Amino acid sequence: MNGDLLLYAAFAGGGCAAAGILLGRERLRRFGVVALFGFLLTATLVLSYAFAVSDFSYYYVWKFSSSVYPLYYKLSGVLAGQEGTLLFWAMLIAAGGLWLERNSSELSRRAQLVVVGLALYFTGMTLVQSPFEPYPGSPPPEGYGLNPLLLDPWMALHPLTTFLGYGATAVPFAGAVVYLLMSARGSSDAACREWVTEGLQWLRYAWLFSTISMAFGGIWAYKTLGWGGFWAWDPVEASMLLPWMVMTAALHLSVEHRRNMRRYSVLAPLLTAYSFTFTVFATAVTRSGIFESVHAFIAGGAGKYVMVLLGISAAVPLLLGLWKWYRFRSSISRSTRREEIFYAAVLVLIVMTFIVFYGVSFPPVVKLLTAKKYAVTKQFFNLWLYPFFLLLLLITGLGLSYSESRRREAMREFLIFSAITVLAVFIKPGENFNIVDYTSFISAKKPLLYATVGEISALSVLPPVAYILYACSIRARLMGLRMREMGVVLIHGGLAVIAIGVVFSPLFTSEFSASFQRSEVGMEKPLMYAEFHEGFGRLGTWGVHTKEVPSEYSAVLLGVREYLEGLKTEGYWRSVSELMRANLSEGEVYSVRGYVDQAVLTEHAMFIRLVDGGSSLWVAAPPYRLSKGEEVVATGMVLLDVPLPDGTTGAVLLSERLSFLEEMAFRRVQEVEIEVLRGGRTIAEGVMKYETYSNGDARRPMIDRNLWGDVFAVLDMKVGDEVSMTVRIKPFINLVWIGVALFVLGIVLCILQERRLEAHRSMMQ
Amino acid sequence: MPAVEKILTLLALGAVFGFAYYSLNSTPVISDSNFTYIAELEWYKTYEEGLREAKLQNKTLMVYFWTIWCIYCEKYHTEVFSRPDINAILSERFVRVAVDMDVNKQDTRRFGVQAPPYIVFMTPEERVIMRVPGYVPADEFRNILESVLAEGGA
Repeated sequence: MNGDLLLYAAFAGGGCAAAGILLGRERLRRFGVVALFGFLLTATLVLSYAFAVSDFSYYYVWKFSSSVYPLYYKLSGVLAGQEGTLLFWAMLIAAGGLWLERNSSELSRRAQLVVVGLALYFTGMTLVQSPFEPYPGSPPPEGYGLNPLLLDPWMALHPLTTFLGYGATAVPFAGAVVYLLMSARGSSDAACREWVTEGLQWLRYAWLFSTISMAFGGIWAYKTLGWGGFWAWDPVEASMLLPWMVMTAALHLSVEHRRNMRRYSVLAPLLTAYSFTFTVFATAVTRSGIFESVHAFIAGGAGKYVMVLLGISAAVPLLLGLWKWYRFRSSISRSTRREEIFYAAVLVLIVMTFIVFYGVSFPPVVKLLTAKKYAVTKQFFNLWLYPFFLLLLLITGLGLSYSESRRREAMREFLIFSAITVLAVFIKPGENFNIVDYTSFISAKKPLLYATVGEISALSVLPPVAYILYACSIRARLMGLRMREMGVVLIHGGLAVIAIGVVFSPLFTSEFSASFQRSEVGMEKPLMYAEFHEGFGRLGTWGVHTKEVPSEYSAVLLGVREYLEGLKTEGYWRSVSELMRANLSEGEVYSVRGYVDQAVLTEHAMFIRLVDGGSSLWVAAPPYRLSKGEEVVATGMVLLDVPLPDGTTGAVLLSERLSFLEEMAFRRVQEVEIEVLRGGRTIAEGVMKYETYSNGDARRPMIDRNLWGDVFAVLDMKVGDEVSMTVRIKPFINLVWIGVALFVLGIVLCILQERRLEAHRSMMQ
Repeated sequence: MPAVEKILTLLALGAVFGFAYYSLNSTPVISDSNFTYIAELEWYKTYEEGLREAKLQNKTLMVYFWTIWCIYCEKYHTEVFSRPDINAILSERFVRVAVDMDVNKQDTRRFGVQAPPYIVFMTPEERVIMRVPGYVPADEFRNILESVLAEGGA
């Protein structure tokens, strides 16, 4: 089935919807909106089905799938490239357009027009680089497959949650733009109050999925990339944090705006709209090819259209916001303390957003203009963000514990905790408490300010964290255990827990290495760490020298195994014994699988005797380096009654090439089982793997999780005679995931509470 | 806008502009149109330029493959190439080429390099002396440099 037809049909449906809205024709509009969504949904399902049944006549399916994958990896291929993600995104936006049918207000109609416009734009981009492009030529029996690093359950879900989050920002964007437009033209803000509530609820969903998506991506990176980190400030990662930060700011300000419609009537909708704009920015970073990143290799043809959309979605809300601000500059001269605290927190968040945005976008921009390339690495972000992060945590504590009834107390607590934080900046029990080990990436030289901020003690995060936890308890007491309050308390408590995890876990990770000979199964060896010495080294020169020193940890090699998994084209050959039971006929082509028993090199060819289950067959092939017992597949024409190297006459299979089972297997797995001990006591046990695929390798670490932290072990390279591994002890790491779980739980409670209120309101009407 | 919020807004704007200005001026430059600057040394950006220079000076050529996101490259820059003794050897005895694999795809393909970091040592006559895939700690790296120089000169 030609999926492009579905896309054209969706396009036509979108056209009907737009016409229906503009002409005020309700039935046309309804038909168009349903058709737009229906055809995009069908297209998504058709593509998913093609992945499920491994239909490699589609180039996109061939590129990102393989028939040996389990179903969920096959389906994860749908969102593995630009083509599929744009289609899915278009479908989600269209779903938003359909959802807007349930509202009949003027604002909803206009917002629907914007949403339909966006859905059309995305459908257009999908058509530019269609996932339904046929495979050039006759489709191969097997797909190229996903990058082996992506074969991970977390990664299978990461793009799905990402785009659910991105998709959910389209409706609030449209609502905010229309709201700005209408109110700039003179409609009253209060008329749009209901809309602020709807926008909030959509943003909460977007926030929920973005949070989950970043966590899944982090867990995947932690597991798969070998270095055991969950966040590296790669441009694509950083740009994904941007919409999340803007959403967070928008959520806070929209709540205040709803409380008092005269406050933040420009900034709240502007930030709401920019939640979408930054998802487009994140897409531009990934797809435009301008940004250098590990992720950016998937750049594709729709890049420039993404840039155009970015320009439009950034300029329109901004201009409307300025217009409204210019016309209705608020005459409010007093603000409540509560509002000021909220506003300060949002400002800090905006400054942090700007730092991330600048760090991602200024290197490529400067490079385009001056050919100068700046070293903006993870330390750049960590350094600049950390002081603002502390400030944000402190203001969060104040915001949570503040109420008019304890106005004085709250301010006093804020000052006390801030003072302790400032003191903690200088308290360093050891060198490894430096918040950032600043290096400029390209040399050992440090700029002054960077060195200074880098020297801040990591202990400085503890007082703000304690403050937030304390403030959460106050708030729970003040407000009672209502569902929404519980949500708010859980989310901010989660922030405190995450803060400890992200600051302490990288600082106190210790790294060791061990290496065994394959024959040393059952042997215990100490884990070694590298000690750095400054001074005169072995060669009489000054510098930093490393020495391997045994630690209190040790490892026992429990076993080494190797096996092949998932034969890709299983079934098309027959074993030697099966084949010999059948009657061979001269000139027929057969495929036979057997074990090498004997190989004789003659002047014409190499004669190989394949055996299996008591039968044998001679195969003539070009010379190969073979070892006895090796399993191979030979394919070719059979000749009967040929004189054989062993002096008899019989059948020979003429094979142009031999296939080794290794290359036909989905993957070759080398498995190493170890036990890690500390002072003789077992602290972790597990299996790590080195997997070799036809399109790359992947290392799967052993991770033994505990509340206090992980023991993480990964093979350094393919297992030869030597088994060498890196073992990391990672304390505090699981606080990050616990914090994320609190985020998720908290926002779900907030969403449920809003739904309950809504049900309540509609009952009252 | 209420006074307190006005002040907060001005502070935030100050932070934004202050950051934008200072960070741009204090962040080290990795490369410009002529050279790449790693470990305070000048590195040619393409194999061709480096080879021409190596022939002129009759020095051994070190072709280093790296990317901005590669963690072991960073370790190379800060712990190995920056170590004073190694830095001196690199500076005096080698003509250096740093191939940014994200940008210079041509040289990456030419040497068949799959992943950074990766180093190839060559004579000015384009004979490969040694290929060093992956990261090598400083002490070992120094030994490599010495054996490369011994072999390259022979």
